Amino acid sequence: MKRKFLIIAALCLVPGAAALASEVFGTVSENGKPLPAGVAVKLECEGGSASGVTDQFGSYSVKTPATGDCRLSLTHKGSSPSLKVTLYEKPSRYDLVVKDEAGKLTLARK
Amino acid sequence: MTAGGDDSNNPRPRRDGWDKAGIVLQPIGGLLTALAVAVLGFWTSSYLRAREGREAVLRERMQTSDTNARLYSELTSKREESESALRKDMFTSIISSFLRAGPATPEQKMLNLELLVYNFHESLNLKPLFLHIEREVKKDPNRPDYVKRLNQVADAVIKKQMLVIEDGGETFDATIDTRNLTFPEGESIAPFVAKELVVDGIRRNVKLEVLKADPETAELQLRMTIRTVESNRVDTSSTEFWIGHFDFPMIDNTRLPHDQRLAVVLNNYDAKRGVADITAALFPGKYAGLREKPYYDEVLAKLLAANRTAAAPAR
Repeated sequence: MKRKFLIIAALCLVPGAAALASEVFGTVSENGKPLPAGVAVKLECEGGSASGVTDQFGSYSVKTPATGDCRLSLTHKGSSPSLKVTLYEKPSRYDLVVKDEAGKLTLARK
Repeated sequence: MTAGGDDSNNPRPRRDGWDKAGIVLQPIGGLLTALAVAVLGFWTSSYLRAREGREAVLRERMQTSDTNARLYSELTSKREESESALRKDMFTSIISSFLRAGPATPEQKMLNLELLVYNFHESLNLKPLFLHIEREVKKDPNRPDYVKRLNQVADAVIKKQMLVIEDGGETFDATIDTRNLTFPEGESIAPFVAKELVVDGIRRNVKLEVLKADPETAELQLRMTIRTVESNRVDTSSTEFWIGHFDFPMIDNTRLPHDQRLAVVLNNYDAKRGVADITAALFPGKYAGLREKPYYDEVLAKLLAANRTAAAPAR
């Protein structure tokens, strides 16, 4: 009985932990225009990875239980430019710009 | 037959068609003239009447509009007066609770601070009160809760203010390595960050350097250098300041020429990892708090510029 209770309690705590997740959000633009909807955004941290997509205004938001240094990447025009980002307990805003440098897409903070 | 004979015997001069027409048309001409004068008189008087009527309607409309405007301004000023009186009373009663000698629980103080912040965050620099409460709750068993509440209030207000500022200004974000006092950007590390911001057609280059970091208070000392290119010359000004979680951009900012402001906001500070995240915002003075009065020469310059703009299309 005690074991069952502990398992149920642990299961109940999982959504609680997710609620404490840190978040990275912002907009992605290219040549001054927001990226189209549906561009995949991936966040890779030591504790795992999370993903999201841009909306029609080029906005994105990805949540993860991890904090600290992570890598944010996009899948756009057959390329996957990425950028090192820092996640805190409070949400971090990263407004990004996709640049075409000598045929290679790069990602930078606006 | 004599020379001075009777004229009655002379035949009357014979009248041709023109003479007869003249006889008939003479009274008709008089009649027509009279008619023309009457028509002209009638037409002129009705025109004048119509014009008077139009002017009366216009005058009435203008009077109504004037009355409405006066009524509206009276109502607005009365509402402003009553709001100001209410705010004054509220402010006096809240601020006296901090200054009054005697015991007040941290909970009461927190509540008063929250009331002050949510109602007066555009008018007052409340950073000293935040720091005062933070110091007061240092030995309180519920300190973590109070500190969390303080940070939440400050965060909410900063976000509110940034939302307004970003609407009329330009911003950029940067990450700071608080241990090495550098700016990591992607794979590279720079000793400073410099970006160009354009507001109201004025281009300014904003350079930020980190001079010191205090992990205990989660504060950063920054040097901000602003380069403005104006009529083929570069104006450079520099200032140093500390930023923390209780610095509100509308109130705590650097005043620049042309009624512009530059504020730096501390978004995040992770003392354990030695990283912080900041946002620099350049914005017009109209978005700044109500605490600062505009300089008169700047107000005059703005009015003159507005007059010039209004007069330009008329030419």
